[in-house]
Amino acid sequence: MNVHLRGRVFGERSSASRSHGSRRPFSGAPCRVPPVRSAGSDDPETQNVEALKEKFFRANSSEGASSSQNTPKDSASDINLNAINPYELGRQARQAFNDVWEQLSRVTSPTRSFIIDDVLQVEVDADFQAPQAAYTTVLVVGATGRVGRVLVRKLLLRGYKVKALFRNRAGVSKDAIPDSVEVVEGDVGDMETCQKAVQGVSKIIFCAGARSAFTADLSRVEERGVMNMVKAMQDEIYRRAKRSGAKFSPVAKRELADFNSRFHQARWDVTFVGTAEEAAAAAEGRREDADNGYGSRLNTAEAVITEDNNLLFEGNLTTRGAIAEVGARLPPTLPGGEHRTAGTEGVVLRVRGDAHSYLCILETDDGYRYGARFPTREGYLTVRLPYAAFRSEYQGQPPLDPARLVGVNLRYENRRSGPSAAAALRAAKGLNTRNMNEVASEQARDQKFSLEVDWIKALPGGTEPEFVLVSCAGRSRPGIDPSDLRKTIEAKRRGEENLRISGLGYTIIRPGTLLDEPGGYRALVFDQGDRITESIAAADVADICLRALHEPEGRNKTFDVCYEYQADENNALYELVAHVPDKRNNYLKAAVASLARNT
Amino acid sequence: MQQSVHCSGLAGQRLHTRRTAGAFLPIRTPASRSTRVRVYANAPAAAAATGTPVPKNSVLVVGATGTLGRQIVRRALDDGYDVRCLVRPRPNPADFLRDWGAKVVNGDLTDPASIPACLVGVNTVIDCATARPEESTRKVDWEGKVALIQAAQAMGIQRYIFFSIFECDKHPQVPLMNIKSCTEQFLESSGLDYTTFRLCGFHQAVIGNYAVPILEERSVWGTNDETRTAYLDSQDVAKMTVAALRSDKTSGRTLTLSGPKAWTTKEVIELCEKMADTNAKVTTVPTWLLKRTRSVLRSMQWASDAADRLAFAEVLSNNEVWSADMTETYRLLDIDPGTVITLETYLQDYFSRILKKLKEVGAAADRTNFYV
Repeated sequence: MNVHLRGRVFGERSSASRSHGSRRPFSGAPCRVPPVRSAGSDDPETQNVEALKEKFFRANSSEGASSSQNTPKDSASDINLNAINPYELGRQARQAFNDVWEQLSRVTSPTRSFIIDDVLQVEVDADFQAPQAAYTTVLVVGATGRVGRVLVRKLLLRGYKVKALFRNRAGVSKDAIPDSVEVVEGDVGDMETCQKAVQGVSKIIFCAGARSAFTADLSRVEERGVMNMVKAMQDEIYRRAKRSGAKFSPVAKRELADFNSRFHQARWDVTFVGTAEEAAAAAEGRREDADNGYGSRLNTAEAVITEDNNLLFEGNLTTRGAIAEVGARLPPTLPGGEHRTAGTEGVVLRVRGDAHSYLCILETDDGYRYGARFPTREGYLTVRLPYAAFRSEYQGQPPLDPARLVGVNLRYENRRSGPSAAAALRAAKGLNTRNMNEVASEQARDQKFSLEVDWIKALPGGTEPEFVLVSCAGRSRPGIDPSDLRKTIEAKRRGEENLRISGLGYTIIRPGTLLDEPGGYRALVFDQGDRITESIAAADVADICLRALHEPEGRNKTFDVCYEYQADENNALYELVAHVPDKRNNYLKAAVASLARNT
Repeated sequence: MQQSVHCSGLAGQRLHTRRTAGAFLPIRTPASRSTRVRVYANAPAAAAATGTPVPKNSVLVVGATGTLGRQIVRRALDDGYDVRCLVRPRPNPADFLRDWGAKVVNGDLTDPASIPACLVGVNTVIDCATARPEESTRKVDWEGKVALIQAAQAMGIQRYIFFSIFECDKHPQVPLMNIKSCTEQFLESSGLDYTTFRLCGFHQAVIGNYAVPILEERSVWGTNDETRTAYLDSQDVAKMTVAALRSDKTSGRTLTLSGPKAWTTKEVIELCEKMADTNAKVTTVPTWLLKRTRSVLRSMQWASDAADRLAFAEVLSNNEVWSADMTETYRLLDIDPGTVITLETYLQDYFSRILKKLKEVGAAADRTNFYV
């Protein structure tokens, strides 16, 4: 008899299923002995010998058993014929022996397990489970970098579908990215590539960086790259929303004022010019002087629409404490039918200012007004004002409820105090008193104001971030020039700004200096503000990116992260909260929950 | 017995040759024609002599398609290592390793010439390979491992992790244990920075040997001995292995990894029955039968391998407890003992998922693919 061990034959799979499958022609499993309990009452020796005998000489004894299991009569005759067929007998005997052998060898090596390839994988470990992974496609930009490499692997381990944007430069091998990742070739600075890369993707993790410190590289990757990705993602989500039948994209900004359209051009007008006392008087309905109000020669303001379809709000406020406001009341619903501002989180304006600071004032339908001050610079600027930044005008007002917004205003205040007070202020600061000409020119500068507004939109709210950006904390690493470092940091900050004003839900992670160590070992410190000093493993940053994908607590937050360290005595104004990156628990939620939103 | 003497003799021979050549001194071949070839048996010196720096993150896993190997690959990939897997060339290759992002290189432990190429650019070697039941234990577990260790020495591998069996030095009559013990000694004397983990048993083995037959309503064969095994989850072993790579605290040590509780066969079967809510058909194989079968098979040349496998029966009859104190190990590896999965938890999870899947699929008769 040929002793052929049951088990893996070279080049063949799943012999177990094969063995089980081939046993099906028999009416019952050859191992189906009558239930034998390992009780002490029976004599084990004779019982087992009996069982073995039954196996080896199954042909004779099993006829009774098998025919009892096969009820139809005609098959009984088949079995009788099979019983005397020598090939069949030989096969049964061999099967029986193989089965006995399998059981014996399994019994004698109880700690050895055999792997069959087409298995039903049962995951007990919660570390590698991500239930949302089944329907999420993630685009990793920078999949060949330090963070990107580890991130791609972690995503694949958890079952995400991964797309990578790959530049295919000389020196980066083709097998830097695993085969199960869909690769889009091209550069992130090219809009077409970005659009191709974003197709079918629901989340983006941007961990690319410029390879050199050239300004062109920095601006291409950090600024334009982020901008392209953001725009492409907005387009993609819009297309997907349209395809699924929704009327609007969930991440599109809602229009509050767009001066390309006649609707808004007609509605916006100067609402008030004058001093604070006049404002109070007008509010109370008193009219003291018929000449006062709009006709006063002291304070003028006007709002016109320029050729570029911008709203130009300019004027001259000579009185101290004078204010000028331009604004409009808005219907609560947009033309498409959806509510204009319900569920939004902030206001974005595109303005061209003149280095003065302006106020954006929102009115709700119960008459309350909330204002937020924003600085401008010479030139175009996109300003992002989350609702949390708006202060109420009077004490005791309820918090701003975006669903009840009915009006948007922009205000300029001439806050410059009189000449004597200004001189006193300068003297107190220890500066030389200036002559009258300088003071006068300053005052004139503050009296004139000019603001061009392109559009005002509201940023939509959401649950999870769609875009995770890995930026930098600003700590230098050995081998980098300080001026290069400054350029890099500035470029990265501009990229962050581009992401924040886009309307997508974002999480911006600013790690300390990246190390090529294995992660998951040391505790991490999460902080906001430019205080961290330590480094962090790239694998830990990848883990944080991974968790941030589905973390609603992390939406619209920017934070720094590094290894834990002890704050020195002088700076112990804040408590360092360190979180050990335990894979089981969602440490990111606890870590990020206490940080400020919309930063 | 014949085989064990053969094994230790082999080890003795190898060690002997190494000693005569100066095991820890540079071996200089005579400068015949052009260049001098300097072969260092001392691994760190070899590494210092060559020029290419090897990234500290790179790991080679031998036996990556096995129960333990795949868990180690997953863990290491998740922790940020660059993992390379040594697999044999197959007509249908195991794609899951590539799908996870590990690199796959082809090689065979029985072909020593194929090993050094796989070690290029590797900092750590984790060896969790063993012979399949149809293969010769001697060729893979002894000769193959010796070749691997020697290649690691020559290539200057900085860290070597080896998996052995609990108390393998106490049972020289079992060939596999004898081989593992010899390999441990060989590894110790090789000069590599090694860590040996001695394992007791895996949860996954319980699945294959007991849980599946119970689910399939086949008879379960158990033994009537009282040997207690402390089963450990292969995922926990993988976690501990990757933790050992982080620091130098475990280098040069032989650590035993055992589970939180030691179980006998009877207890395991009862546990499976309770969880699957069925009564198992248990057949007890007495130890004397196994011994008798083994002696019968040993007398026949063609069945010597089969006899080797039954040699385990001798160990079973000793009724030992395969479990060890793990506090020191947990401390060295910086692992919290509370995170280790127990057999009950594992089986509970397994059975609940299987039964849920069965309900989904609506399977009644054909339940054949339950192996993990």
